[in-house]
Order: sequence, then structure tokens, then C-alpha cells
Amino acid sequence: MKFEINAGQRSLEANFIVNSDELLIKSGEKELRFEAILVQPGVYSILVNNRSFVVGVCPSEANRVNVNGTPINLELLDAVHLHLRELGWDDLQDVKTGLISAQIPGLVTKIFHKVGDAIREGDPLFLIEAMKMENEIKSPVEGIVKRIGVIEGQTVEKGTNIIEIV
Amino acid sequence: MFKKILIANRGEIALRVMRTCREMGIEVVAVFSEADRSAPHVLFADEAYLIGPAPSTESYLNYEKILEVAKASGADAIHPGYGFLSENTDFAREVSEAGIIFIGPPASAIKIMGDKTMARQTMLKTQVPVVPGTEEPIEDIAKALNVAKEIGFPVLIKAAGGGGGKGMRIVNSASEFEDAVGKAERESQSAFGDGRVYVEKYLEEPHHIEFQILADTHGNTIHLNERECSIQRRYQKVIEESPSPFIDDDLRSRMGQAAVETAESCKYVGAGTVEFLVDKHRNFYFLEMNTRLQVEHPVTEMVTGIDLVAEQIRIASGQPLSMKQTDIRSTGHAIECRIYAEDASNDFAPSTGEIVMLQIPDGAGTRFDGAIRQGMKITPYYDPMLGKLICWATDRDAALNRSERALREFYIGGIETTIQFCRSVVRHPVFRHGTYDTHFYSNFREALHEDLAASTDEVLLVAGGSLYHHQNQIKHSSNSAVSSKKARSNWVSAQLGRKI
Repeated sequence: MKFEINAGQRSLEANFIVNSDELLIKSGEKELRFEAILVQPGVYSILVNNRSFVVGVCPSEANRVNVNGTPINLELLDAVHLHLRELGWDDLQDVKTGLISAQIPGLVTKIFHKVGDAIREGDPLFLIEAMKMENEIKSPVEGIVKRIGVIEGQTVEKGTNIIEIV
Repeated sequence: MFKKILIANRGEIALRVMRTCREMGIEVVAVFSEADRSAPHVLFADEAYLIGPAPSTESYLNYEKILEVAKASGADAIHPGYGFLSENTDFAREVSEAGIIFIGPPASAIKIMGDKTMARQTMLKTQVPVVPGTEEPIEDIAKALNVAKEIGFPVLIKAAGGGGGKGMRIVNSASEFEDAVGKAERESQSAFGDGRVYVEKYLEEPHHIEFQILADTHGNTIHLNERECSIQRRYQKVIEESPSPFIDDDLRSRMGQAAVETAESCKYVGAGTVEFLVDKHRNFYFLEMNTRLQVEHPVTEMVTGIDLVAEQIRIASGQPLSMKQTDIRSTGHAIECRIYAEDASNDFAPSTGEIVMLQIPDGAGTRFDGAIRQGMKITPYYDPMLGKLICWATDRDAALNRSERALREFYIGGIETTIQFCRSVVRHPVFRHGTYDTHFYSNFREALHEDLAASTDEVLLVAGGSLYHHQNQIKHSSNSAVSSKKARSNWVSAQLGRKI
């Protein structure tokens, strides 16, 4: 099966071939015999052509693996995704959304607007305080505030919707 | 000697202090907030008392409550750790008035050194150099120019009412002076609503070097050599080491003497730290004195073999210092890496969540002072520091190699940490060469972050293969259990919000 592995600016094409218990990875000139065992939940010991790697795959971090102590943010695209990209559909993921959620958990200390306010791109929307530091969240879009999901003084989890701008 | 000590703190420093207490046969009392019921310091202690809700203003800073607990538990002394109440003069005084020993300096010393102007005035009466400059904000430009000429260019114009680089100007010659003062004044006015500026000597390629001191109640004050703390970001230290690769024995002894003089000038008692700025010409200037145990104190412990917390406790109980200045020997080299719950690639934004995976490094010369556990939640309520990795070896190169080795073993999954950032620093050629100053992070910022992402083709393929393998394992073991999980709404009900 063909894959594209992307990490930051780097990109590699690879062919993953499953042979019973072993995985064979071919990429350019390279041919890696990949053998993995789970040594504790989320931690694999990997032997690749007898070279030893310890790899952590954390359930709460979907596209992040830790290889010998180095965290790597990874995108693993299979044939279907590669095809979608050829059709130009992956741009959809980059559309700026007017639904602004908390990127970090914390205390919402200030909301600068009320429902109905007109917002320009870059306007400060709210302040969220986490670990003694105040973070100002600016609007990624222009529009009108449709909904505010929290009140000042409320503690929120990561991902909680704060403001919707349409 | 004390029988029972209350530790008015949490996290790694609470645990650090408790460990020494237990080794000395002293019982330890923990205090904790509602968010910390299962925190490591509570589990370690002999007794533990709930003191209030999660926000520190209602718990770890609530000194009336802490004093109440100290009295009720029969503690004969209170150790404040660092941060929270450690430099609070009212707390220090009220503890003493309640007949309990405050393990720290007298309130009067905290007061002098806690106030920048008062500290500067105190230091001007000594032989210890302070950064030359105008004592008061500029009123007369001609007078200020004379001061600038006396100090020697380049000089720095700084805002009196703020910080963070706003209203700050480096002036290289007398001809630029008046213009620069005007610009700095306008900038400060708009940034802080206060247009006052003053002149200070501009220190080229400054180093932040501090000296550990110990003083007893019998009039003995000694220093325990230096810690180089020039690796900083956002004015916060990330990596410290001892000895400093920048200073020689002659400068070390002159600065050490100045540190002792500083401590004596405010009649200091206990463990303290005198911070200096050292410019590229190796001129040193008093910056400030921290009247408490420092985060980075283990660096000094590793090279001197002295347990600073044990010394603090002995001093507080009235014992004289057990060593003289001539007994102090630094052996080998120690480097500390601070591990923060922060996302280095996102301007060090705090990261919270659950520690899902944890592997703490060990092995020769490897010390970890932390208070973390697998399954523990990192909340937004407190300081984002998870712990400190301190590596000791016989020389600096070996200590660097050991630090890199230990950082590679270190794995914390579930939250972002500065582990990888520290690794990038310890293998950076300028850091390895020991020729860095406080501009290190801003000078090499890009290279450091590039290093975070760099990896070989082999590593990338291993990473990709692992992710593929892992996803297949999940698919096979749980079938559709993952995908059938009900999508949870991310809108919360505003009515549930807690009004503060």
C-alpha cells in the first residue's frame, strides 16, 4: 500500500507491504524490515533491520509519535487521501472557521463582545488565562457574533466553543 | 532540632524539601488545595491539610489558613519553598510572631531586597558594583547627556513605568542621544501611560550569573560558587549550569566576595542568591538578591555535595554553619534542564491535560526533581514547571553528553513539554562551546526550532510505520468501538459557569 509521510517541511513516499507478522517498508533505495512489539500500553519496541527504536504513540495525540525521545508530528496519507488531494479537496481543511474554540484549557477572564457585534479579522475576542499567563485570542474571520458559549469567569476545557462568528 | 515542619508549597519543591526533612528524621506536614488532593506532595507527607479551593489566592497564598494549620498540627517551623509566600514579609513576620520558626531570612532582609529602589540604595553604600545610570527619571536632557557621557556609550534608555522592551533604546553616541530619549518617551507614554525614562549603562553580550550564599545567625556568611543562568526565554530561565563556562577563578572569587558583602549588607540569614549581570568585558554588576531557595539550587548541590535544604533547616534551628568558606570545593560539572508543560513550537504556550505516558530517566549522575505521575492531570491553576533534570559528570563535555542522553530517555506523553527544546539547546554548537550569553535564545531561535523538526529518513519511516502499525492494532482490537463513540458537544451551558 502506498503512503506519503509528512513531517513539517519533510515528505517521503513509502510502500508498506504486510507479510504475515512483519511489515516491509520500501522507500526509494531503502528497504526496511519493520518488526514491532507492544512493551507497555502505547509504547512499542521497534526493530528495523536490527536497529532498535522505542516509539511512543499517545492515545490523546492522534498524529504524534515519539521516536527515541523525539516527538514527531506526522501526517500519514494513504492512497485515498492522496487522490483527494489531487482533486484539490484538501484545501477545505484550511478554510478559516468562524467557530472559535479554546485552544488551551483555562479561565476565560474577559469577553470583548456581545451577540450582534460586528467583528473584523484580527479583533481581540476574549482573554483566556492559563498557568498564570493571559492569552488574547483574536478573530480569524470578519463577521457578526452569532453566539457566545461562555461567561466571564468560566473555566473551560480545551476545545470548548467560545464564540461563533457568521 | 525541629520535630515537625510544615511545607507551605506544592509541586516539586514541596517534595524536594520533604525528602530532606524525612532524611533528618523530621515529620512533614503538607497543605493542599482542592485541585491537589492526589498530588505527590500530599502522598509523601506524614500529615496533610486541605486549605482551600484550587486558585492559589484562596489556598497556597492564604497565609492565615496556613498559619492555622501550622498551629493545629503542632509544626515548629514552616518552609515556604520558592514562589507563593516565600518572599512575603507579612507572612514571615506573622509566622515568627506566632512563635513558629520561618525557614528563611528575617522579614527585614526580604523587605530590603524585594524593593528594587531600596536594594539599589543599599548596594550603593557597599563596594558591590551596580549597573551605572541615572538614579531618577530624566528631567533635564543636558544633565542626562552628561551622565550618559560619564557612563560611556553605548547606553540604554529604559522606561520607568514598564518593561518588556517597550520604550527601550540603545544609544551608541552622544549625537543620537536627544532624539532617542524623545522617541523612548513617546513610546513609553503610549505603552504605559507614563513617559518617564532613565539612562543605564548598556551591557554588551550580558551573562546572568548568580552566587549561592549561606548565612547563619552567628554572623558567618559564605558563598557556594556560581550558577550560569543565561539560557532564558521570556526572561525565564530554562537551563542552568555550574561552573559557568564564562568566568575564571579570579572573577569567581571577586564575585563571590561581592555576593557575601551583599548578603551582609541586609543582615541576611539562611540560603539566598545574589544575581549579577556580567558583560563581555567581564565587568559584573549587582542585579538583585533572591531571598529564598532558588529553583536551580540542585546545580549547586551536585557540584558542592551540600544539601542546601538541610543547611537551611540547621541555620533556622540556630546552629552555626558546619563549613567555612575554605571548605567549599566545586567538583565536576552540573547542568539543569527545566521541564515545563509548554509548547516550545507555539511560543511556549502552556499545555494542560493528562500525563498519559511517563518515562523518567535514571542512571549514573542523573537526578530528577519532579512531582509527576502517570495519569496525573496538569491543571491551568499553577506554575507549568513539571520538574528539573539535573545531570552531573566529571567535566562539562561529559555533563552535556549525559544531559542529552537523559533527555532522550525522558518521555512524557499527553501534554507538550520542553524536553525536546532542552535537547536542542544542549546539542547546539554555541551552547556546547560555552560561548553563549542571555541573547542565546533570540540569536538562535530559528535554528533551535528547526532542530526540533529535523530527523533522518530512517526515523521518519519508523515514525510512519509505527503510526500505521498502531492504527491497525487499534482497528483489530476494538473494531468499531472508537468510531461509534458518541460525538460530544463542544458547547457548554453558560449557566454552569462559575462566577468569580
